[in-house]
Order: sequence, then structure tokens, then C-alpha cells
Amino acid sequence: MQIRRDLISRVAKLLEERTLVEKIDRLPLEMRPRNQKAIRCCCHKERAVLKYRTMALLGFNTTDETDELTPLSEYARQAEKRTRDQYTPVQLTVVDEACSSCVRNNYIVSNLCRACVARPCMYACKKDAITVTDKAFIDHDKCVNCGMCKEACPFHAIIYQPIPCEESCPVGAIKRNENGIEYIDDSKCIYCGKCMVACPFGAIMEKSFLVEIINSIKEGKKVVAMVAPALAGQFQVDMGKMITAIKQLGFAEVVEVAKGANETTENEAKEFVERMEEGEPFMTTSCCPAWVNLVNKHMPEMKPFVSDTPSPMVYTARYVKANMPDAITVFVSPCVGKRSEVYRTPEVDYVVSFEELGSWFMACNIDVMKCESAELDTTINSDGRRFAYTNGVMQSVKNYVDNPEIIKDIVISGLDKATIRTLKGYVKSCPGNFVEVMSCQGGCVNGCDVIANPRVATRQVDNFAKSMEEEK
Amino acid sequence: MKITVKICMGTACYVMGGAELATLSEYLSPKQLECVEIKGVPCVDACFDQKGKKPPYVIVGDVMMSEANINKVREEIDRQIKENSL
Repeated sequence: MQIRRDLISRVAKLLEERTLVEKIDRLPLEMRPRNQKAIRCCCHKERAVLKYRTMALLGFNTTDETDELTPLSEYARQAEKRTRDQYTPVQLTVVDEACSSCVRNNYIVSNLCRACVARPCMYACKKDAITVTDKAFIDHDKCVNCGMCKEACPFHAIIYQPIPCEESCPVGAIKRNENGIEYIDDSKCIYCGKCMVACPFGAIMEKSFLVEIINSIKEGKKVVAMVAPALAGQFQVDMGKMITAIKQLGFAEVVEVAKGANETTENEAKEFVERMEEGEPFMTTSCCPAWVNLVNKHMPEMKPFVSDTPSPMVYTARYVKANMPDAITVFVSPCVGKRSEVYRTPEVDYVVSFEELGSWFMACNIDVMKCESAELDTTINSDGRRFAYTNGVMQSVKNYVDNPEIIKDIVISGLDKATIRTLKGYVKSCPGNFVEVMSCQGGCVNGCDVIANPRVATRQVDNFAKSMEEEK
Repeated sequence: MKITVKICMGTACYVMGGAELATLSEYLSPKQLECVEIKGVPCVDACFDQKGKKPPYVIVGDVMMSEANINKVREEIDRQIKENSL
């Protein structure tokens, strides 16, 4: 996480100085000089990892590489010329150089094995994968990861070692190839970003728009930042200071997406009432992009029940484009999921994550704490600001409808294999009529690109929402 | 006498891991809590000095710690409690 942020910050700095193409090839060398102690095997390995991670920051897949000798400067050159029609729906890329190809089989015999006489593990194994000499040995070519040996061992000597990325993926989209290196199956990936957080080798990177965004600003275009409600909890300062800091980066305008959230609430509430009157059994929210991706890719039977109301980001972007037709819209995002939504949303041009924003501040030496407080939009109903955490959308809709008692709410906070099973069950019979789904546990404040501790952030978002209500 | 723990709240420190330090008090024992006073302070102007030191910075008593995390800070607090026999 720290290496990634350091890297983002350095790339942002080069972009700010407009020396990306000239200096980018030197970046891995600067970050890992020859005589410094390496964490991986040697500085050369680390430099190679940094090169491919930088490729992702320039907006490429690591698999876009056709010639290993292509330098970063060449990718930088291509990135500076890239247009929207060249984008692909793939948002996450595995840096194979960084992937440690963890373990081939999840079951491992530890040194607690006593090579007991009864050999229950050997008999439990239906694949004849275990032989015992002075210790049990699992033949990884035969093992099918069933776990029977672990159950059988009376000494608890066989352990299950998870593979963090695979374990975290709720839809089985990340798998090992024949060389043991992980790859992401794009037809299954819902862009929840959980693998990226789980991998302790930093092998999974999201593709970035930093080049496009910073270059647009430098070329003097009117770039507008649309900040997700969760941003209010990210830095330990009030939203007014945040806005000033973002403007110091060169953004022409900063708009709270909470504004669009008000519109989402209004339309989603109306849609809900209509659907109920038509006798539909239930409706789910649609603002979490990973949830929408999940439905599209894995649960087509759920599609008719997902709200058709656009997300707060889309409404906000429409508002911006209506008032400033020449504006370039940038969504300031807590997660990678929004990148996939932006890919199918023509109103939004780019995404910058919270993490990238923080690293960019660092590159420009902007101290958020020392910024003056800017004026806030007082026309926003603070319920929209609460979209940042779980139950926020639900509460907002409840506050909007005339008779909230018609809502029988179900709140799903965090997608995993179990909640996905539960959700699939709702298609047949749903114990409520309005289901809020957020892919990240606790909501957007716990997105894969957040900086602040989610508990601290939730408190801060709530305080901000309250303070703005009182001001009214 | 209390040991002051100053957590740098500058943006560089905050982004590079300082955000987690906001929960420091939750990880301290009652004894440690009795002996320390935790403060968030504005940027201590050490961001990226050239001697290989990196943010986040925390100042415990008069010891400046770089690449600080909750565990390191806890150890340093313990060391100083012992040293000053608080």
C-alpha cells in the first residue's frame, strides 16, 4: 500500500512537471537504488515489479506488453495520445512479476506430523496423494484440495493455507494459470477490488486515468471533480478544506455527488412505490457498481428487480454537463468498481481514486489541513451525504417516501459467497421488499481505495451530514 | 509527567499510513493511556528528508519516529515509561 502510494505520487509529480516521457524510465531505479536492502530477492526483481505496476498507473494492462524491451517511456507516450475509444472494460490487472504464485495446493503437512502408525490421513485420501515416511507427504500433482486429510489428522498437523486473492474473491474470478500465476477472468470479475486489498504482494493493480486527468488540467481544460460522499471522512479535515485542496490541484470546480444522491433518492423512492403498486415482490438499489456487475455477470434472474434509477454519480455528471457543456468530468472514487461504471457512462470522463488523490496532494505538497475552508453547497439534503455508509441509501429513501412503513427493509453490507447465496434466494422468496446492497462491508467508506480507517470515516461522514443539517 | 505523543497530521504522513494512527488510543493499555497524551499536530516538515527516512512521523516524548505504525509507537511508549519509571 505504501509502495503503491509512493509510486502514484512520483508519477503524479512527473506529470505535474510535464516530464513524464523523459523521466519515467528512471523511476524504478530511483525507488530501488542498487545498494539498498531489498525486500524481494534483489533490486532487479523489485525494479521489474515497479515497472509493471507503473504500467497500470499509466492505464495499461500488464498483458498489453508484446515486447519485454518496451520501455515505460513508450507506454507514457502512448498514454498521452490515448482516446476514449481505446479503453477496454478491464479495470484490474495482475502484475505477474509481483505475484508470488502462492501455493499449488491449499493443504500442507506441518512439522507437527508424528508419522503415526494408524495413518488416518493416508486412508482418508481418496486420491492416493499421501505417502508417509518420517512425515506425511502430499503429492501436489494428485491432491485435489478436498481437505479430508486435515479432518482425519488427530494431531491437527495438516493445515489449510488460503490464497489471499482467491479467498477474497466472492465470484471465483481470480485463478492460477498453469505456471501458478494468478489471472483475472474478466467475464466473471465484478470489480469489487477485494483481491487488490487482499494480496500482500501488491500484485493486483487498477488501471489509472492519472495521465489523462493531469494532462487535461495542464492543457488548461475545464476539469470538474465530482466527489463521492465517502470523501468527507477521508482526511481529518472538514469538507470545505477538502474542496480548496482539490481546487489547488487545478480543478475548475468541485461538486459533491451527494447532490446527485438526492436525485437518486427521489427517483428511486418513486420507482419503488410504483413497482410495489404494480405488485412486484421487491426491488434492490443500484448505486453500487460491483452489485450491478454481479447481477449482470452472475445473476441474470435478479435483473428485473434491480432499480433502473441511475446512480448519484450519473445524476451529478448530468448536472455538471448541463451547466458546463465543455467540462471534463472526473469522479473522485472510493473504489475500482466505479471505473467499470464510468466505462459504460458517457457523461463521466475519468475516475481518480481517494488513494490517488491523496498521493497527488503529496506530489504537489498540498497540506489539506492548512487549506482555507471553501463554501459548501447548502441546497443539498444531507441524506445524500449518508450514501457513503451502509443503510444510508435505505434511510434516505425512507425519509423521502410519504409512508415509510410500507418499506420492509433488508440491508446487505458486504458481498461474499454467503451473501451472494442469500441474494440468489431472494429471487424466489424475499423476506422484505426493499433491498440495499453494498459490495463493501460498511459501505463506500470501506472501499478498496480508501485512506481513512472505515470506523473513523463513518463517524466523520455522519458528523458532517449532521452539521450541514443544523446549518439549515 | 506525561509523555506526549504527537502524530503528524500533514497530508504526506496521513496518506502514507498515518490515517491508521488515528485509532492509536484504542490499542493502548490502561497503564499506557494513563502515561501519555496523544495529540494530532500540523505537518512537522520532515516529509521526505534525503536520509532515507519516510513518513508517517510520530514524535513520542522527544524521540522522532519515521515510518511509524501502531506497534512501533506502543513499543516506544513502553520504553519511555520504563526509562522514566512512570
